[in-house]
This record gives sequence, C-alpha cells and structure tokens, in this order.
Amino acid sequence: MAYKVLVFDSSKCTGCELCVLACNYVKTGVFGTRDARIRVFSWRDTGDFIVLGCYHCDPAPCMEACGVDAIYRDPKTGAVKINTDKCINCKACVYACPYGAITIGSNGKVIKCDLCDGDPACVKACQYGALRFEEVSKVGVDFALQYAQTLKTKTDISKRTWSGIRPV
Amino acid sequence: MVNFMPGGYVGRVAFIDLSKKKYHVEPLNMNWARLYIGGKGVGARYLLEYLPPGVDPLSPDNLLIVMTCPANGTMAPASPKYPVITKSPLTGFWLDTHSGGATGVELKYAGFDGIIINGKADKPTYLYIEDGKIEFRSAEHLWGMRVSEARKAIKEELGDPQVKVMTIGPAGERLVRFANIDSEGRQHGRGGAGAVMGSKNLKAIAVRGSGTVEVALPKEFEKIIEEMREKDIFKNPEAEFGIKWGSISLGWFTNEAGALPTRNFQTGHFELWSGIDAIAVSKVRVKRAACRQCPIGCHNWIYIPSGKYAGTLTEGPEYETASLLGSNLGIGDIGALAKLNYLADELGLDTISLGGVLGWATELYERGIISKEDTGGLELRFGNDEAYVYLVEAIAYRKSPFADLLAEGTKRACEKLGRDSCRYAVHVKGLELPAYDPRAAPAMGLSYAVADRGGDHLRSWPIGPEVLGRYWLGAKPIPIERFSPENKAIIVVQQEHQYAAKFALGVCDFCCWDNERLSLLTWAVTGFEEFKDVRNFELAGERIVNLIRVFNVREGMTSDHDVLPPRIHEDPHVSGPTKGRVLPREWFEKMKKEYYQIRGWDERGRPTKETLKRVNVDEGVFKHVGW
Repeated sequence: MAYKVLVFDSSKCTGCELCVLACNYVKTGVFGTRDARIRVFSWRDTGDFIVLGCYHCDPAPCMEACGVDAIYRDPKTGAVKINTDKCINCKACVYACPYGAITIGSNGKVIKCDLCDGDPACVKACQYGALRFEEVSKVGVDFALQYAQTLKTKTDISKRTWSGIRPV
Repeated sequence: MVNFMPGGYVGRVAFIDLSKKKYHVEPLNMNWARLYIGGKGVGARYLLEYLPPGVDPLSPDNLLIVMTCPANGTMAPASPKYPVITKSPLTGFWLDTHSGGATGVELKYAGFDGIIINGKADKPTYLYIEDGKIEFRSAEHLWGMRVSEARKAIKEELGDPQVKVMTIGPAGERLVRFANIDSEGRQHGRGGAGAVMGSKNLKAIAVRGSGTVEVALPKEFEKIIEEMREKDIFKNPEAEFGIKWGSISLGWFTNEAGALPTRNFQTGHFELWSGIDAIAVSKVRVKRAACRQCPIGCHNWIYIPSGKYAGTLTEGPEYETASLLGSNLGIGDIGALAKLNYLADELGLDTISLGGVLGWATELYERGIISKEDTGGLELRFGNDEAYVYLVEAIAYRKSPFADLLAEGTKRACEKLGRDSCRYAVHVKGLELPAYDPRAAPAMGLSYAVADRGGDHLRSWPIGPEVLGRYWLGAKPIPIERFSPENKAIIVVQQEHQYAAKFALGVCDFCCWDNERLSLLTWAVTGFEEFKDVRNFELAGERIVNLIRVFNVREGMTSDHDVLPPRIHEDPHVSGPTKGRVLPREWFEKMKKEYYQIRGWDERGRPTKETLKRVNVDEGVFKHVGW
C-alpha cells in the first residue's frame, strides 16, 4: 500500500521549533508546546537539534499495550491513532512507546501524532525541509544518493577498473 | 473596561526582590501595554516608574527587567526578540538589549510578560521560573563557569533538557562593564547588562513553561504571518542576502561603501576582508541555526578544520563581530576570528564593545602612547591575534592591571589613563560604536549621537537608504544625497519610529520593514483596533522614543551628550572609496538641530510638554518631567 511517512533530517534542522508551534496550534488553536505531538531537543553549545515525533511503528508497541483496543491504524494514512471514545486514559501506551512519542496533554488526556489526516502541519511549517512527508517508496533514496555522491567524489578516475567492482 | 481580553499578553508581571528572596506578582498594566505595545516600550514605562533617579547602575538598587513582547511565543515569523532593560553601567543611561534565543518565548509560556528584579542576593543565586512559580536556588557551584558549562549544569540539575537558560559568564561575575547575558546561545550583547546581573549575584535565570499564548484574531493573524513569510522574507529581494548568508553578508556592502571600521576606525575599507567575509564563512559553515519561531535561521555554525585555531566550533561570526573583532583589529583570518568570537561568547563579553576597546588600546600602542610596560609585556599590534586571544580572557577575568583597565570600557579607560588617549576613543556616551562608519554615511552619525542607549545601530539604520538611495526601513520617499546633511534628520526620525514600535512588538530587525504589515500584525495579535491604522503604529514608536528620552533626561542627559567622537569629525579616512572624508561638524550640528525640531524637543534635547501631550504618553509620565 502506498502511503507517506514523516522523515527527519537533522542536518537541515535549525532548531526554530516552528513545527512544535504549528502542531500545538492546529490541535488546540493556541500557541505553546504542551499539546504539541512533536518535540525538539536543542544543544545550543554545538548547534545540534533533534526532532522526535511518532514513527507510526508496525507492529506498534502502543497498540499492543492498549487493553481496550483504543489504538488503531488509519487505513488511509497508515497513522497510528487513538480512538478517544474508547480510550480510558490508563497511559499504558505512554510507557510502551520506546520513543516517548505519546504524551499527556494539558487536558490530562493521552495525545499523539495523527499525521493531521495526511497533511501534517509541522511539515508545512518547516522552512528548510528538515521535516518531510515522503512517499514510502522514496524514503531513504535521497540519503542513499547523498552517500553515493560522497563515494563518487572519493573515487579516483585513474584507478577505476573496467568491472567497476570496488569494496564498499 | 469592556469585556475584552487582548491577545499576545499573559497578563502577569513578577517583582522579584533578590535581597529578601521574595517575589510578588502583579497584573500587567494594560493601559501601558496599549500605549507602549510591549517589550522595550512597556519595559521603559516600568523602569521610569520603579527605578529611582540617579541610581548607580551596579548598585543593588538598579533594576534588571526582562520583558517579553506580544508577538513572542506566537507563530509570527522572526519574532522571538525580547529585551533586557536596565540602567547601563557603560553609559549610565537607558539600556535595552535584545536577543532572540529561546528564553523570552519560554518566559511567556511560564506565565509572565515580564520580571522585574531588584536588590542583591547575599550569595550566588539563580532563579528557576516554572509555570507561574519562582524559586531562588543556590548558584555557588555555578559561579565561575563559562556560559555553556553553566547552561548544561543547570539543565542537568533540574533534570529537564527543555529548560531555557539565560546566564552570564565569568565577565559578568567580575563586573566587566560590557559583559553580556547569554540566552540559549544568542546574546543580550550591548551595554553591560551582564555586569548588572553579576552585581546582583545573579548567575542565571532558568525558565520552563507549559502555558500558552493566544492571539486576539487568529484568522487575520494567520493571513498576515503568511504574507510576512512570503513578501517580507522569502520573496523579498532586500532580505535575500541576509537569508542566504546571514548578517555577515552586510560586509560586502559596507566595505565597498567605505563604512567598514578598520584598525580602530582609522579607515573604512579593509584590504583583507575577503579572509573573513560571507564566502569565507560559508566555506567553514557546518550548520544553519535559528532563534525560536524564526523560519530564517540566520545563525552560521562554523568549524575551523585546520591551522592555529583548528577545532574551533562556534556560532557566528555576525557582521558586527567580524568587523569589530576582525577588520577593526586588523585580523583577516577566519580561524582567529572564530576563536575570538568563541571566547567572547563563552566568557560573556559583548563583541562590539570588546573590539572597540581592543582597537583603541592597539592604536595607543602603535602610536607609542602606551608601551609594553602598560600592556604587561604584550606586543599589541593590529593583526596580532595571539595577543588578542590572550587579552579577551584576561579582560573577562580582570587578570592584569591592563586588562582591568580595558574591562571598564573605552570611555572610562581613557579617562583613567589620561595622556590624551580619549582623542582616539570611539564611543558615544560610553557605548563603543558598531560597524558603520559615519564618515561614509553622515546620517549614521546622527543616528549614533541620538540613539537612546548610546552609539548603536539598532535604533535607526539610515546608511541603507543613504548609500543605496532606496527608501526602505521605515523611511518614506525623500530625495537623498549621500554626502550631504539635507533631509537626513527626517530619515532617522522615521526609522526610529519603526524600530521602536517593531522591537516593542518583538519582531527582529533582520526582516520585515513594511510598517503597514507590522501595524496589522500588532492589531491581529493584540486586538487593539487602533493598529488597523499604520499611523497609530508609527505614533506608538514615537511615543516610546519620547518616553525613553524622558527617562534619559531625568538621568541627566542633555544635548551635550548627543555628540560624536572627535575622530569622526577630524581624522579623514586614510584609504578606500571614502579616502579623505570626515563628517564635518557643521553638517552634524545642522542634522542634530533639525532632528530636535522634528522631534519637538527643545535645544537642550528635552521633549517639551506639548510634544509629550501630542504623542499621548500616559498622565503618570509627567511627574517625571522636571523641566
């Protein structure tokens, strides 16, 4: 099935946290960080920024941990979502998630990323493409291409063999 | 009051007494907020009201105000800027020093529009502000730490990496008069706010908030920020270079215009500029970074791979740093510049004032006014990066008598030293000049002379319209001739209005120069109807300028303080496109006189009561007007 996934490229992240603000705003209509489904960790002494959100795992540990089957996969987007009608707010999923992607919002309820039904606000807010929403078939291609290009520039043309076989 | 809650404010101001380790919270004065918008404007009103006249800036009675702005914490692009407001230990007058960083936004999420700090802690202390509560914590184990060490230690101690920290370095602790305050890797650079913090035994302010900020008119707000992003930033040809390269790109323009301070302002053109220009920076750039809520990301992270300073990783250099610590010291090597930039940031020194005072000392040495006996054996010549690297650290720690002298800033140092050394000191009111030489742009001279915090470029920037001959940055179309005093005062006045109102709103000077849109943004964020009309936005700017002038006049400022260093009038540039140029005194006096007239200030530079009524300051201001 063709669907899209969120991709994060830390080399392009400027640490502006607009993704966090955008997420919080589309979910609550106000600006803040508490109800954002995405987080930015900043190391301002080295300029390192890491964005963490939900990877929508498959199989998803949160889904397995849920005792009342409140967590399900949206067939349209592939997103792992919470059915708030069924959710009893036991927080088992919070502890089950290996990435801390499920949190407790300002209303005391368990919240998580739902990929904004296929049009994530965080991606729209990201200026330099650190966060992208990519076709699952394209994922990794640009990283592989980047690596291929570094290999290519390392190759000395005079030492190239006819077969092109070289150790990776 | 009608039932109307303005957006953009959280409505609370904390008064913190460090001596008694107590605080109380008051509602934000909404009358003031409406008149002075926020940040710098509202902060000025609080300072005027709560700081008694004539207080020594480094005494416990001085106030240290951290004030946020309405646009902070919203999604308005490039709007995380917030000021620290106090009385400057360099000038003895008004000081507002802005930074982007991340802490101001967090302070609002923590439920405060501002904090007003008074008194002095008996032992090193830091404040932990979390969701409406303020905790006084011991900082004895942090005292002496460099900026990044202290930031890291606090986050570890509080067990929360999302805490945002404002901190001083060793320079602030030792009351170096141009010590800065770091805010998550960006600095409240100018005027010595770090020394004020140090004098209060306050090492740091750590903030964490889970609250929210609301805007009054979300639909309009969304539309306006989308327009800002498009028209003011990413499709604005005026902003193109800045976005691509960062502020360092300004150097191409100033070096070509002969306005780049070189070797203590002896000339305006640096022959080695290509060694530290935007291309040199981009070659060692490893990362682009941004202040919070800013899509531009103008910070350059650079890493020096080889040479004497191999392994230096730092954020910067910004244009002002590259000029004052680069060309002004005769340094044309990116490695040395990166090292100086790194040290200044880590130790907590303002790079502009630092470059100013080092350049001044170097010229004295080269002229034989001071010798190795004075410098403690240092061969202080332009371009001697090793001497500078040593001195930066020495100044921050006040290690030697010579470093101790320099740590007082150019004005005090030259007065102490004597020997006619003030002839070579380049400052206005004690604040060292930034990187636009007025001999290449006469209106810049006026801008420095009348700027509220002393020699500074962030109150108006007439060099843009002057050299490029284009009308922007708040100035309306007026015929401009570059080397002439005609029509310059009006440009400075118009720009000062824009900058004052824009900074009070929280928008960065790096973008967004359309008054109409800024005014609409103010309206959409706050909901104050009057800002639908751009004239009220400009009037608010004028009101803030006058309010701060009232404070400054109360503290003893007169027209005699609104002067330029003698060098600008007397020493012609020795090379470059502006070779032979000075800023003639009569030009300057003419511009200044015109400026006072347009402002409605008397010949002593005091706002008249009629002027204050016209700009509609609140009634309470008049009791501070003793003239």
